Amino acid sequence: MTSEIIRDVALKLFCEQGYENATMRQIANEMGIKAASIYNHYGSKKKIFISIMEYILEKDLNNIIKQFEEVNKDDITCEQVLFHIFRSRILYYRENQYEFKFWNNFSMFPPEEVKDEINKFQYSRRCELYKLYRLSSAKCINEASLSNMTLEVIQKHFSIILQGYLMLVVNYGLELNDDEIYEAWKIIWNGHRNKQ
Amino acid sequence: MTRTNIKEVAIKLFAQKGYDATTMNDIAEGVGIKAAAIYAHFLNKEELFFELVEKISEQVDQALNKSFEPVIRSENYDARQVLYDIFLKSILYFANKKEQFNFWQRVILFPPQVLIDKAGTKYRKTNDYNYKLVSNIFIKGIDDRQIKEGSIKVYIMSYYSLLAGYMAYAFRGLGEKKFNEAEVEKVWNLYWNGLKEGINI
Repeated sequence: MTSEIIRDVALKLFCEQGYENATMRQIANEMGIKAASIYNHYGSKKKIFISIMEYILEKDLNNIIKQFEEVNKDDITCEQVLFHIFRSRILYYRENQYEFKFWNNFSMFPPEEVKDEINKFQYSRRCELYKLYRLSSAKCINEASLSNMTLEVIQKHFSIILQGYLMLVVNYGLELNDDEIYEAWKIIWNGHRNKQ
Repeated sequence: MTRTNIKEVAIKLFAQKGYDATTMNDIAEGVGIKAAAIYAHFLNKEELFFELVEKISEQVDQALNKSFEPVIRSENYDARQVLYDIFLKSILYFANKKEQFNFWQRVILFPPQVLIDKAGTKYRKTNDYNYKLVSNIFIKGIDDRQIKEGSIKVYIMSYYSLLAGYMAYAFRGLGEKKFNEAEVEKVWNLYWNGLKEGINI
């Protein structure tokens, strides 16, 4: 229980101040406990950082798998699947802004002490997401509703623009209502479908 | 001369370590002068930092936005072409100035408290100005029937998310990926297709 609170407080502090600037003492102060008891739970700042990565990676993947399963049905079109994924990514990270900031900030500026670990986790995160995006767009090939551009380019385009929206929503506080998310999606989707 | 050196070193250090972790001593060491000598040029770290913020936004503004003002004011231009030119030029600008890119990214991702306190309004002004420029292009495109009728806000956001997403993808991390203009164009074409008038299947 305490170790979960420590993790949540540390997640927020790391995102706001950076890894190097955040101290065990600060985490303890935020929680109103002694720094020594943080060491009892985690041993080091690095261990907290890694435990955050493990936790949010699993949480994030579980969520996206759940979202995918919700729409992976025969009577649902490829567009509906992809839109659902697009929308649920935006909603998930809007709710869990620190998780997005964590990946985004630390893959841009990896602290020396945890660089290798970040790379390792980022790599498996990308592989898993890629697999899921691939599964989501598999239907599109069957429906033959996409333009003749390769699936690779489309996937790249999809993840680039999704990343961009997430940055605008989380880092710049962009507010998008449901209609606007749908319109934003339509631009992506029509781009894939329109004849070149 | 020294003033310029100080600024160059400071941009580099703020980009690498962030505002809080960089000290005036670090900067002086980088320039090869005594810390006290910096204070002859800048009152304190905060003043130095804000001068850099001003200088970089000014440069970006001149290189990207201002250079398109005349053509956009002329109202006689191809919206697709101008929008693509701005997009490509923005990417090329930061591809050649990684330090400025990293400096901005740091500021955005880990905003120092002094900036939150002081610069919020000024920032917004530059952003509003850029939005206006891009929104004029979208309106022109709609008038010329190149772009479908739609929410201008969503169009502007879609443009900036493509730009932000692409730069994150192309510039980030360890990968000193070679900049590939053909790839930019491919991604752009997919995007533009989604805006086009009247060819939905």
